[in-house]
Amino acid sequence: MRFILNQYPAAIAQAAQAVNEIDHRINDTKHHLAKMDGNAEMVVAFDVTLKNDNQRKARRFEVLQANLEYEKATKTLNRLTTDRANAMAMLEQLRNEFHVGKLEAQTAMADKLVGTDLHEMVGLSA
Amino acid sequence: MKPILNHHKPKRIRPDQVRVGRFFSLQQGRVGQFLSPRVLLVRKPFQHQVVERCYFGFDSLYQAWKFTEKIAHNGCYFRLDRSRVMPQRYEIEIFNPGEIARLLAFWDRHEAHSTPSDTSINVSIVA
Repeated sequence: MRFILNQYPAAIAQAAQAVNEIDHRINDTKHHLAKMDGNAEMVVAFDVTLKNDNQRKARRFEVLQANLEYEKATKTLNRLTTDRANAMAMLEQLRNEFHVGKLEAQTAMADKLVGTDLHEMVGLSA
Repeated sequence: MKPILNHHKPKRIRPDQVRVGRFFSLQQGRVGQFLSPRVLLVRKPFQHQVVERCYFGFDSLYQAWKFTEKIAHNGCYFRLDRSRVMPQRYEIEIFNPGEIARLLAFWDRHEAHSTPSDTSINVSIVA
């Protein structure tokens, strides 16, 4: 779908806003994941029976796996990353279309001016 | 479990006095509940704003110190000291612990309940 040239600034701003919204949600999700990671680290640190790093890693994995929210947040982050890539593609497309539209308008204006000059040269203009 | 009768500060609880899940008085309007053998939750339920504190017990100072690194990283206010309440040698007191106490207690109980057969891999050979 192509817009009229003067509609592009608003459409570009809206697309940029959509990217910002997705960025905000990505940051929220990352923060939530970091919190759950921190909690898992705390569980590992609290367990005094763990003897070595392998056991600690296994326990950390177990704690995260038992947390349904962690899996949900991971999936959300993946989906949001894809959404952001799509939103960025849309934004770039709008910017490029706007740029092409401006070039087309400039070309049309130049053609018109050249045409006028030619008409003057051959004495067709009024 | 018998209430602790010291009016000024609670006596250290002996390991055989720990009853997970049961409420008991700690005097001065405080109610204690062991969520696991190493996690004690203390509340003041009859105040306008419910005050919660949590005690974590450690037998080794090094382990307690390592644990404080994690809780400091999580932005919790805490105090590490020789045990005044907990049956272990050292205790960490956390102010307004939120979900941390329940999470750690859950995994502490989980660890306590897991028997050696749960953790080892059983291999059976069918002839």
